[in-house]
Amino acid sequence: MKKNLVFATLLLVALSGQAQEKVMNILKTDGTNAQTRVADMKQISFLAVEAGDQGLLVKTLDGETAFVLFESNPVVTISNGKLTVKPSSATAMRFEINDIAEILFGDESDATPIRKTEGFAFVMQDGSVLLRNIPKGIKPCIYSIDGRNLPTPPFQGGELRLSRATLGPGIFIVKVGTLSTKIKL
Amino acid sequence: MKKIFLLAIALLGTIQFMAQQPTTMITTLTNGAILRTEVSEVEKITFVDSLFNLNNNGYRILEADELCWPDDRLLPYFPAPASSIRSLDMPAASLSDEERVMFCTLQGIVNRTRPRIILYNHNEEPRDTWPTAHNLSITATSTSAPYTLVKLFKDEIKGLVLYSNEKSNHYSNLAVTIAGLDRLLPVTEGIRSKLVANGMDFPVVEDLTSLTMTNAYAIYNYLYNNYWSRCNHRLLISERPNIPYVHDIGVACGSACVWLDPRTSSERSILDKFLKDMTPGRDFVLGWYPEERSGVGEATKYGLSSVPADYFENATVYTAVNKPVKIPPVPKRPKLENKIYAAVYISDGDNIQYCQHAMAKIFEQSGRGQMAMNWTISPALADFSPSMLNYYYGKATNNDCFVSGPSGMGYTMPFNGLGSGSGEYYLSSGPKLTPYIQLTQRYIEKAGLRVITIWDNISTSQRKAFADNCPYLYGLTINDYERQNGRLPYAVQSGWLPIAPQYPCYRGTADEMAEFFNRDIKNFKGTEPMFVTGQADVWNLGPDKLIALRSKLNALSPNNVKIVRADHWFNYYNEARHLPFNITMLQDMAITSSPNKTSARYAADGSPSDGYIWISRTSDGTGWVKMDFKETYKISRYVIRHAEAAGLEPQLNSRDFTIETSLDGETWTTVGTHTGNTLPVTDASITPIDARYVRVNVTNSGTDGIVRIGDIEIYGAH
Repeated sequence: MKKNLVFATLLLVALSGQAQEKVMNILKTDGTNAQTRVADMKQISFLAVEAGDQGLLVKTLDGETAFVLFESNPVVTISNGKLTVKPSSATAMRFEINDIAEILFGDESDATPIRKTEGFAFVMQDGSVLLRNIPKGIKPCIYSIDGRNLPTPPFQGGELRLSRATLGPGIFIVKVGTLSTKIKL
Repeated sequence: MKKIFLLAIALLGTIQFMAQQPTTMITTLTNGAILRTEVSEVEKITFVDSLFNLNNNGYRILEADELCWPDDRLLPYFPAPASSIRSLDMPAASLSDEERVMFCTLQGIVNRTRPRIILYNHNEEPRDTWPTAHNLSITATSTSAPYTLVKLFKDEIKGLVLYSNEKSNHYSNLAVTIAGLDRLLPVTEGIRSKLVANGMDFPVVEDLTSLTMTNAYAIYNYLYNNYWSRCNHRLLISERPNIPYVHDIGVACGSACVWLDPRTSSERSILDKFLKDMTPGRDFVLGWYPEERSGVGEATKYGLSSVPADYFENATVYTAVNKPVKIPPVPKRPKLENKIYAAVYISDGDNIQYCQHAMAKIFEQSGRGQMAMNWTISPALADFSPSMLNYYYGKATNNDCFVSGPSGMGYTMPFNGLGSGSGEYYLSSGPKLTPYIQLTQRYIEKAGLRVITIWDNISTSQRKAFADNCPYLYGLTINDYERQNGRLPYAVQSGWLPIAPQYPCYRGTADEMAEFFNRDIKNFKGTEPMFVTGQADVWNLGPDKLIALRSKLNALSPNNVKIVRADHWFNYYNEARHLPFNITMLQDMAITSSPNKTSARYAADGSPSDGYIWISRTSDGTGWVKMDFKETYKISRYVIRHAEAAGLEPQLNSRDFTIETSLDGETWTTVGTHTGNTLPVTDASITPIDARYVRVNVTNSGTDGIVRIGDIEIYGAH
């Protein structure tokens, strides 16, 4: 491991010979914990066969949930305090590690408790993006890669699907509340 | 590697194998380690802040309980060694035993965070042998100022454990145990004075000099009662006090260090308390015992193996060089003839300090390479030092075959052939040994060892446990010490696993070996094959003397004796008995494939390792390999090792493929259809079918569309 990499992953400034860093803690169903230093991690990927509607849910502290299906072969990397989820068929989503409440595995229904409290699901699948349970009163904003605010396609029932059919091909930035991500269509 | 779970469904005379593998999270670490976690076992993942200490280079100082130590690993994953490592020649520095213990403890504490210290203690093999094999860059510490090494890393030391050997030298082991847990240095008053003289006035955190215990029983009972709960229970160090070799790995892991003699009932009672808290199939004892059979036997009672390592040095450095084992291709063999097939084993490879020191010299002796010799070696090296295995594999000729030392992943002795009467069992039941056998399967497969030399014997239920849990095996040997009435018989367990008595099982001259072999050879009639096997005592009968056996056996039966590799020997043995054997090992096999990036021969060369795998030229996810065995065999099993078995990413394992057989190369019958595979190895038994040709047809490769086949084995019988 390169020295500068270690420094890059130290999240708080060293003080008096002590410092803090992030450790990924896996709480298992049997109650045991497995910890891995973020500084030691290269990537996380998933081996899945017929995982169906199962996927990875990233829940943030402000109650939002992003969902990526296992079948989209997401690869998770962590660098400079940011966690990136990159499905093979879509653009990566990035999260500040400090903003992440927890990562779960399951289907979209596992996001329900959060959705009830203003959260929503962000599903990336087959090159399109589906925003579900968009909180009332919040309008998703879509920007072009050069920062232009684009018209938001009509949505109802708290659901909005973004695809080439609605936006055309290209790279876009989608912002819902405090969550923003880049998508490629 | 994970065990394969396949669901077989009979479907119109063929068999369909549907993957039942759970979704798995693969965490890849910066040092190349791969951690598998089943998604269904995860409640949630969170990121938490961890407060830690920095050394003066800005690195996090790791504590003993902060190591990454997955359940399927013998040893934790250590960070990769530093670009330059400090060395110290301890004999040249004229250090006392107690000082060496302190330096070895310092090494464990420092290397836990990142390997930066290498200690030379055992001047047997050339000094640069292992640093070079591990591609390490070494900076020597002046032997006239050894304490500068302590000074260099003093900020990683919290203080001292003060002890004295006056009442008992076992205080040394107690001090080392405490030192590893709390980042302390174990010192006597004299060493403390030297530290002070060198400008290092560490505080005394633990003072053991006021303790009044005077024997091993009392001291280790004190250790058990006061520190064992803080120690890891996965690795127990059993090392003679003041012998500073494996202390580094023990200290780094936060292990207890003991030296207990099971022949003494009181000491055995304490040892048993430690062993009872350990988990068979995961945990082990490292070091040695006051006496071999009682020590190994005592651990065996608990289903635990012992990795002999009393003079193994720098484990914390060599285990950190995390590389896949590069298993070389296995030479093809001729057809079976009505000849005498002899296999000669070389003893003591279970001992990793022998692998590190004596074997490095013995391997250079004349005679090696001129006749087939079967070198016992420890599967534990796959974790302790994969580069050491690669060193021997790299030097090996086609006449050097490596096999597992007794009795698999670490030394166990289920049956003591030299016990009272005609022998005694340390472990009578099969189930208690099963976790150890499952551990053995993983490690012999990692290390590429197809034969295990059992010391001394195993019961019927234990033989079945090997057959049920160790499909990687070609065969087992057992020891015939001539303590029973008559010879130990050859046997075949579960219809496929041959078990051959070593007769002789440990002899020190070629004449003795020849004399034992001749007890059978003199009865050879030439009407059917004959099989003999024996083990040489390596300390007296290395390759330079063992080579004489070739002419001695030829003299006994001119032109009839073939001295062969153990992997060939067991396949010949099964072939002679019309049992399934690996027919891809036959010289006559012709192999073709398409579309080729690498040669078709790599698909069935006996090696799954990267560099010896078949790779398709195109990336459409398809490719095939066809084998022509030139005559008809009854095919009953196939094994396919995928990309992960070669040390590549699990995502590259072939997903969908079929196995087809044919009598004429024109009409094909599908005998196995696999869909959705994600595992590294496919091992399937099928209803026996007559075939001359076998074809592996991949229809959906790994995620990048390129087909990779590590190795194919086809098992057939006449």
